[in-house]
Amino acid sequence: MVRTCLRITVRIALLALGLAAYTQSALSETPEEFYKKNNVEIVVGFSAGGGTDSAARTVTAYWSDTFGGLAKINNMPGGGTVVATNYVWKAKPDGLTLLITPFGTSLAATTLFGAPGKQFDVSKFSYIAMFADEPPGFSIGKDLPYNSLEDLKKAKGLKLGSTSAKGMPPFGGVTMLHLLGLDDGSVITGYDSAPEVGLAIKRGELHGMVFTSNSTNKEVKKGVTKALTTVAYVTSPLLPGVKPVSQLLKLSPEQQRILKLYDAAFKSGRVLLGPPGMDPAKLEYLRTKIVQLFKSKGYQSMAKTVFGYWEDPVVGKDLEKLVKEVQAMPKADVDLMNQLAKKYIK
Amino acid sequence: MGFQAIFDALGNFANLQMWLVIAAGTLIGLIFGVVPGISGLLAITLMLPFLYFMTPMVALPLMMTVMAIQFQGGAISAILLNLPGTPGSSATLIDGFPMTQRGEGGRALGAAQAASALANILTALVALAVIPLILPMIVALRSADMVFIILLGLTFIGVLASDSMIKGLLSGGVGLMISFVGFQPTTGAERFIFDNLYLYDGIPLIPLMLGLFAIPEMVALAAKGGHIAQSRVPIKGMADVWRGVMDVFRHKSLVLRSQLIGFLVGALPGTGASPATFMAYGHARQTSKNPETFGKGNVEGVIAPESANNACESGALLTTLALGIPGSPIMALLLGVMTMQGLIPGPEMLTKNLDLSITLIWVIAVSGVLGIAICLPLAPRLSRVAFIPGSLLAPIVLVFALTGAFSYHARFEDVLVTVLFGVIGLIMRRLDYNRPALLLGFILGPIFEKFFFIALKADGPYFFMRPISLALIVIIIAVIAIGPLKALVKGVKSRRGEINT
Amino acid sequence: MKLSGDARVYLFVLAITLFMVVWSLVTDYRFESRILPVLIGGIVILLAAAGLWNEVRAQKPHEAAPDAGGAFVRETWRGYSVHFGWLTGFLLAIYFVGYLLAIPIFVFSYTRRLGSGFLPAMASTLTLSAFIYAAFELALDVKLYRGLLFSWLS
Repeated sequence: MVRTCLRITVRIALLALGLAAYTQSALSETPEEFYKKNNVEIVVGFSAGGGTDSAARTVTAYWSDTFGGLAKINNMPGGGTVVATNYVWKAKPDGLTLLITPFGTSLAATTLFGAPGKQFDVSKFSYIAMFADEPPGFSIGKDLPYNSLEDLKKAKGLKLGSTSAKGMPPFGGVTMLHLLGLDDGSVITGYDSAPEVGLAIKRGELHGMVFTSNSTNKEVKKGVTKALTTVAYVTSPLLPGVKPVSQLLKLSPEQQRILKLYDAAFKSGRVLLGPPGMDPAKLEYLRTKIVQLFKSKGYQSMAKTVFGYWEDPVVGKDLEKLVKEVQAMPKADVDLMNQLAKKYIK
Repeated sequence: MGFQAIFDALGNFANLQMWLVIAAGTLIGLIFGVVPGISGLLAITLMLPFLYFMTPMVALPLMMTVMAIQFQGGAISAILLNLPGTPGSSATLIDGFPMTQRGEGGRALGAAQAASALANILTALVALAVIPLILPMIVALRSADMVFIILLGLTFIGVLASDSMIKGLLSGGVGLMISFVGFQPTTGAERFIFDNLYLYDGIPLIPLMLGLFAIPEMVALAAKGGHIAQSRVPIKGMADVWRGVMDVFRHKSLVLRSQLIGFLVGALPGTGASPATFMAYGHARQTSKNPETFGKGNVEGVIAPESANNACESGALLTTLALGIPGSPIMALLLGVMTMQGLIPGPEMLTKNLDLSITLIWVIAVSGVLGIAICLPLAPRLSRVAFIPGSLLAPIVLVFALTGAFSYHARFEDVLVTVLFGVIGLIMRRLDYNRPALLLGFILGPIFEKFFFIALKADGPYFFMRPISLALIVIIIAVIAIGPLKALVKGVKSRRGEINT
Repeated sequence: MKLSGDARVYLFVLAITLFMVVWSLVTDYRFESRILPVLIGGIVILLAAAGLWNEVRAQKPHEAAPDAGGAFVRETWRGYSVHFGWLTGFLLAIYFVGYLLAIPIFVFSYTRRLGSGFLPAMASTLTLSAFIYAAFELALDVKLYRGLLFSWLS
């Protein structure tokens, strides 16, 4: 009886020791080992084939070269990216569920203007990097008799086209009309894509558009439009010779505030992030290695094919700073932007 | 340059790899088109990680084949099970399924396959020649004109409803009201969502279709017992199938008119295959010698939509390649893959890459031939589905319907929508309401609203005063008036006949 | 007064559409958001009202035409409800235990209920379950809904 009890006790002790050793080894697993042997789920809040989905696939294409494990895209459209963002917000912070989403329309817009069903707080996500950010370009019909912004200030009844982002007005056109001081201008929403707006310009239905540099460049190449400026403080490598609006126009303090809000909040860049509470070591590892991925020759070549250009990503703390900037936007400026939207969007 | 491009494109077909790609795409497209709830769109989405890294001459023909063939697969489940395998097959079931119930499933399949293949072949051949005509037409049509083209589609609700006008129009109107749930297409503002995130994107199409068409038929089948074929007809096998094929050649004029409708509507940006198929169906019914037999198993009601939905793809491809505007979610995927491959849709596709564009168009034709070569021999066996006992068939189809609904976007709420519309479809079926009319209203509602408000904002309240718009208004009036006029003429003739006797 | 099936449908459609129209008018929807629901809703209300008026005035409640072979007789509301009840049971099973368990349970029990023998029912169940698993989970990589129970357990 005593011997049996002793045997059982020894076995239990050995089991406990073994378990402790296993746990210890699991806990002391480095992020590198972790990502080498685990696959990552990258959630995208759009259907396959669109811009953000393509951007995400450029990342997954080179993920295993960089991290060892695989990355799989999980398309989760719904609620204008809110469904996907909520999903990642509630996911386990084990570093295996990440989100790629547009900074402007998904994170900034939902912060400034709210969104139905939103369950997340953008300041609490674990930010890894932002990539494929390009300043928006403003272009008008190629055959229109205006060749500069100063010329355009004389235009009457300027009509700009835009898609209708769910729940959020298209602020690019609104900002541009305000900076030009064109009170009788209007933004016509409802088109499905930049090429459709370009077609409407070609038909004479519209006069211009504000879209990403990549989309603007495509319409310029097709011979539909001519680019006049970037709605930003910087130039775009995709629109060579085109200066930013901050350099081309003398802006009033109110106009400068609107441009600042637009530039800070409505970036087209895609953000890679994880749920709140991720292990800091894993987060730091992801931030370091993702730069390596973005700087790899293969990725750069693919980025130039897909986006038309390649740039250094914004990583880690710098990205967190951008998010904080958006949250710190003065309410008065946000209200003003809303008022301008009501004024210009017919 | 044109002839050089044609020779280069021909050269692509001398390559065995091209034929293997087309064969693979044909099989994938057929399987995905047939299985209810999954479609070519899902097939291509799953292939995306591989497509991006294939050469354009492999990736794009593969995608085109799947896109073109899925309708032939979708027609099979639409005809045999009243389950549209793809949205473009939803008009086919109106007469296709009643034919199956009459034991003529083989004939319907034969007609559908032949109409589809012929549409793929003819429109592919014609597409190249009409590029100089089509593109200026697309550029000339403004949103104001699109309003009336879509309104023309909506008038076919009245044509579908001709058996019982109040019920038919009510069904179409309810379809339109359901389409208003979600967000307004031009402003993006929420409407009727009551703070529910799921409703933010509106009622989804695939779960609605599965619920409206598949569930009522299977519940009814389970309730009454027996099998789908209601009459005891001997299984005729291949003879029945060939009869369907010959029906297509007997109705040459209808085939050509339906292809024209499909091709033109498909070429218009932002419309998709569904409006084209219903317009072709409605047109067939209006111009038929026996319009009263439509909805009860008239083979013309299968030939017209199947001709249109396949012709649509050729038209949509032209617009996608030449203008970069996708006419459907699948075309959007095509654009995505083209972007990843470094191809820019636009003038380059019709100049520098003309040989690739020609290859893609011809791939549609070749896949049509392969598709019919596979489907026709299988058709007699497939048509036997109509004789499978309902006790076995009903549970199977219901499982596919609810699984397909979930696999659409991996949301359980979609399954609830399917069941909800199953209830609605059941009531409509029992009380003789027109389910296709509801679907047509639901599909066309957002498109009509979008173009209406863009036209209003871009061209003001007199947007209808454009010559093209006025011509379209005249066509709409003619379409609405045809039915009553025909009835009037018939009435006068029969009264004269009575007087003479 | 007993209302016919059609009359009840007209009444239901009238009520829902009226609600949507009134909701459009009283909430702060923009002009573009409310105009078409109000216009189309108005037409639907008129149609439903006209249909209801016809039904109420008619001597006999409307009956849908019987279809060929007299099979119509068994297509009663009661018959529909029973079989729809099975579908609802399937839905609940999916919700609680997920597709992979609900499918074989539903297919086997429903097939037997509809009068099939044990062997055909079992064959159908096994084949369909295997196909669904292979096609959706393995080939298409669609992770079918696992159900509340398994989500809670995991």
